[in-house]
Order: sequence, then C-alpha cells, then structure tokens
Amino acid sequence: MDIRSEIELKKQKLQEIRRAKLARNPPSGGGTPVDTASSIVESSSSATIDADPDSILQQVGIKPTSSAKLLSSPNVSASPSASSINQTSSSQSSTRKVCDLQIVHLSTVSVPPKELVTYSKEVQTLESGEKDPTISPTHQDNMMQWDDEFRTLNDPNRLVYVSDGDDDSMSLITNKILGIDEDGKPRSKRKQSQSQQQHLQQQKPELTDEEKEQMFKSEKFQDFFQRSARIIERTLYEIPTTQDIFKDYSGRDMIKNEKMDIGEIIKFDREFFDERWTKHRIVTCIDISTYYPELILASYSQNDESPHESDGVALVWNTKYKQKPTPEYVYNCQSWITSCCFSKFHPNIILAGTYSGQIVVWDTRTNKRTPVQRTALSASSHTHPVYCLQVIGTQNANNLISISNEGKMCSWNMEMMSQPQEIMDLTYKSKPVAATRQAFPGTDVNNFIIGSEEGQAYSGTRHGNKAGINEAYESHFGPITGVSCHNTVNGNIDFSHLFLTSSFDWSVKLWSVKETKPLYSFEVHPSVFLTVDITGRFDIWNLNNDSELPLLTTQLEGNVALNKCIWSNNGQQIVLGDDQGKLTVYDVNELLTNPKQDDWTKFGHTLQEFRRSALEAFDDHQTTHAA
Amino acid sequence: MSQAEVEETIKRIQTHKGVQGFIIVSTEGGFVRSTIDNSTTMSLSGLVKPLADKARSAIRDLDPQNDLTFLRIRTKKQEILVAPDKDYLTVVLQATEQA
Repeated sequence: MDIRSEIELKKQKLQEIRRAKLARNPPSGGGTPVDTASSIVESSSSATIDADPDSILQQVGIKPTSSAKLLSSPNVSASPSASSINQTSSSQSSTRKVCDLQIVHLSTVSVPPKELVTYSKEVQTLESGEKDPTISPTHQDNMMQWDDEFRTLNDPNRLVYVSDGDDDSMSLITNKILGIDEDGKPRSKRKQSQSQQQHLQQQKPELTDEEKEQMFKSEKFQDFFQRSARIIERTLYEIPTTQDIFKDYSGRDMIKNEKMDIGEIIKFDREFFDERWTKHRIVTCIDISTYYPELILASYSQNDESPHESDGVALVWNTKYKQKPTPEYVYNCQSWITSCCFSKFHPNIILAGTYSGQIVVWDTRTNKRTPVQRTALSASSHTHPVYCLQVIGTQNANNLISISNEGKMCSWNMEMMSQPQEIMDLTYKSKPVAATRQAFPGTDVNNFIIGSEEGQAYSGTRHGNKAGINEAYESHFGPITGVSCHNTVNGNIDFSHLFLTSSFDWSVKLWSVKETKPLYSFEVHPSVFLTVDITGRFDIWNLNNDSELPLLTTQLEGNVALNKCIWSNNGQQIVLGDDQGKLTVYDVNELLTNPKQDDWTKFGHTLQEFRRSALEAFDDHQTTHAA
Repeated sequence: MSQAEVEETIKRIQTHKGVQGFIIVSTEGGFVRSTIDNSTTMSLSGLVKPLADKARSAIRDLDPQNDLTFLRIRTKKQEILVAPDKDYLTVVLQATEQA
C-alpha cells in the first residue's frame, strides 16, 4: 500500500515540476526577439539543446539546405558576410545530428597571380668602356629609356618602358598597370626626373683642359679624328646631293638631264682649291692613281706669301666627290716638289721628287703628313732638282726612274730608297743633258725619251752595250716643257714610236723615234691630244680632223696660266693645273674618247701625209737655197 | 695634325650648311668636344652612345666578323650622323633639308 502512496507522491512531485517548468518557459520565449538578425547569435548561443535549430533558422529566413551547402564548401563562397559565417558556425555547433551530409563534387580553380613578363636585353659583347662594377645590368637598361628629349614622339599613348632595380621593378610595373605611380607623382614628371638622374649618373665629370689637351695629342685620338672627320665630311658634302634617298619623282622636282649634248665636247666638272694649301702656289705636277682612278695627286710649289708653311705640298683629291672642298690627304716635305706620282703597283705609296734633289715617299696607311722615307742628299744620288719621276716595269719587277736637272738618271728599288740601284749620267756628245721631262713609250722599260732645257729631245736606252742617249731630235727653240708618248697599246696599228714635245717656243711637235725630223703634233684616242698654254687656253687637237686648227679651244676665266694637263686613265676626264694652285677637271664627251675602228687607219694616212708634206717642205727649202 | 688643325676641321664641319652640332664622345661616356650647349650635349651623348653600342652589338650578333662603321638616323627635323670608332664617337646633327 505504501508503495501506491509513494507513487502518488512521486506523480504529484512530477506534476509540480511540470507546472513549474511551464511557469518558467513563457517569459523566456517572449523575451527573445527572433526577427532581428543581430540578435541571432545571442539567441542561438543561448538556445537550449532541445530547441530545433531548423525552426530557428526558418524563423530567420534561411533554409536548412542552404546552410548545409555553406557547410560543405565554405571556401568557394566569394564574399561571405560576417553574419552568415557566424550563422553557419552556430548551426554547425547546434545541429550535429540533424544536418544530413551529402557528397558534393568540388571543382578547384587555381588562379595564378598575374605575372608581367619583362625582358631585359643585354649587350652580349663586353663593353670595353664599362669600368664601374657596381653598375648592374638593369642600370644599363635604364639607359634605353624613352626620353622626353625626342619631342617628335609626342604621342601620349607611346610605349613607356621603365624598369628599376630588381626588387621594386615588379611593383612598379604593377603600379603602372593599375595606373598609379609609386609615389603618386604624375608619371611623366617622375620619368623625367629619373632620366635626369641617369644622365647625371653616367656622365663622368667633365675633363679638365689639361686632360683634353693630352687627349687631343694622343695618337689614338689623332688616328680617330682623321678618320671620322673624313667620313663625316664626305657624308655631309656628298651623300645629300648625289644620293638623295628622299627624292620625289612624282613630278614636282624633275631632275635636269645630266647627259652631255652631242655638240658639247667638254663639260666643266669641278675645281679643286684649298685656301690654305694651294693658294699662291703653282701646280707643278699632276698624276692619277692607277688603283683608284678617282684620286688625283697634285704637287705644288712653295708659297711665297707665307714663309711659315712648309714648302713642299702634295695633295690627293677625289674627283668622285663634287662638293667636298677639302683634299683627301695632305702631305708635306721640306723642299718644294717638282714632280710627283703614285706608285703604279702599290695603292698606298706616293712618290715625289723635290727641288733639293731628294725623293720622298709617303704612305697613305699612316696618318702622318711627313714622308715615311726619303733619299739621302749625297753625291751618289741627285743633288739637283728632280724633274722627272716615273715608275716602270711590272707588278713584280718595278723600278722608280728619276732624272735630275744635271743629267743624272737613277733607278731605285722602292723598298730600299737609301741608295739608287743604278746611276747613269746622261750625256750627248760629251755634254751633259739637262733633262726637264722624260717619257717611256708604252710599257717599255728600256727605251726612253727625254726633253732637255736646251730644247732638244733625246732618245736613249737604259741597258745594253749602247746604254745612254743614242739620238737627238731637231730641236725646239726653247726648253722643252712636256714630252708625251703615244700611249695606246690596244690599237691595231702600233703608234708607240710617236711622241710629242712641247716647248717654250709656243710649239708642239710630233716626232717619230725612227726619224729625226718632226712629224707633227695625242693620248687615248689615236689622234687626239691636249695642249695648254700660259694664257689659260687649252686646246684639244684631233689630227684626223684638222692638223692646222684645234678641235676645241677653251679659255679659262680668271687670267690663269695653265702649266699642267693630264688625261685620266680612261680618257674621260681632263685635269688641268694652273699657276694659282687650282686644279680644274673637265668631263670629255665620249665621242672623243672612244675611237672608232677606222680612226687608226685614218691616223696612219694622216701620218703619211705629214711625212710627204715634211719632205716637200724640205725639198722646197733645198731648192730655194740652191737658187 | 695639331690641335689647331683639329679645331679647324671642326669649324669647317660646323659651318657646313645645315650642321647644328658636332660632338666627340669618348667610350668612357664623357664628351670630349662639343659645339652645342651643355645640356643638349649631355642628353645626346647619353642617348646616342648606347644606341650606337646596341646597333654595333646587333650587327656583331648577325655576323661576328662584321662591325658597325656608320649610323645615320634620319628624322623629320634633323639627321643624326654617328661615326663610331674604337675609342671615340663622333656625332653630327644636321638639319634635314626641307623639300
């Protein structure tokens, strides 16, 4: 029975507890406002274990499935708000059993950090000038920056390539992409300051005057300067006029037809003159290089006006250049030059005979103006002015032949100028011959012709048992000023026995080696020759046309006295030298320089006519004497 | 060739029609001689020298036996003539002829 009463008691107690529970619950449920998001955390944390979290969540407005998703892949969420994170964590903690998990396929997307590829080009060859070891390669790159100095590139969108030191270059570039500069400065300004800094960095402190002077004197600098000044001058003077790459042929500026008219025999090309080197000097000799046909060598007499300048001057001019006012090379020596020539078989050697009797040698490979070699002034060689100088022979066996005024002929080996190889005294009937001009016909090395001061021409041989002068030719009445042999070797008739002499007696005579009487009065073309005189007139003669009158007579302006003339190697140019130090170049019409087939035979006929008339004149002379 | 003659040559080049400036730069970077104002010289020598070096290295990369001898930069307003050498560099500024 007491058990029953005991159960009753317990039931009563339980009921009491239930009542108490019920009495406690209503105030707590009403105290929590469930509609505000901010209080969720509080309510969920304080929520009792038995409270259904799903219902709570539903109260807030979140479905239980979404919370599960959030739980399964929290790292995919791009931007989870703070509240939802808290929510999920709270739901995680509270719904340990309720939440049903499912397998979700997870796809990983890896986004690499954006990488900006920069290339830094390097100079692979070692820079000889780079001395500072602290300068890193990137510093060198900095020098390749675009700079504001080039104002022609004033495009705002132009490429800006800036790189700093290794560590901050990346950030700089990213900043550049974002359009922000490192320290907020406007980009252009910053760049300017940067480039200025670099200029200051790379600029060595300026040289002192002493250092500069030292540098100017150094061989290295001299060598450099001569070379580069020559290049620059050629470029400045020549290329813009001759090869104007921007020439517009669309019709606005039509070029003039440069071709010569048929009727025009010669055309003025240019004049070579140098204020310092050729003024008040007389052209004494002209020669044209066989290796470089555009180079003309001219020697000049001493300058009476300025005694401080060196007496001997030889200049090398270039006929290819039409504007360049300066000579290619300038050479000096102590005594004035009476004759000069290029070495026929060596492109770099220039030879000259001087008034003192010395023969000097210059080499274009050195940058010295003084001779590299000179002969000794002794009785064994020349002691009088050397008026004749010629290189004869072949490529492998050649000699320099020089004849001085007292009649001494020397032959030289050009490798050994200390002493002549051979000396020969030129005498005719035991009288020394004062030679003024010499000539070797064609490629002959043995026979020669000389003109003398007394007006006679002589022919002689260098070797053999009758070495010396063999024959004399009826003379001019004044000293002979020029001797020229018939030079053409490619004709079908050999005219090499013919030679011309000119003299102070205002006459030019044509001779044949075989005869002692003058024939008449030539060069590339079989019958064409050129004469100049002291009144500044120069004549071109063509004996096939007329033997009495020149084909063309041209008077040079400026009251000059011409004293030297030479045909270029191909006969298409004439170079004239005068007493005022000027060289004048004329282009010759090709009609005159290209002999036709019959010109040779014609000239043969002309010569025969000359012979006949000369004989007749002789006969006339005889008969008048007889009468 | 004396210093006077060097000066004479420079003067001759300088007085040629259209020539605006003549600069000699040594490979060490400093300029040796210039006929134009300091700041232009500084910027020119600082910019043209690496350009010439770059050009030379490009030429040598193409053919190791080859070498740069001259550099002409034609622009709308002027022409820059660069004659590089072993130890020095000559730069000449020339106004482009207006057609």
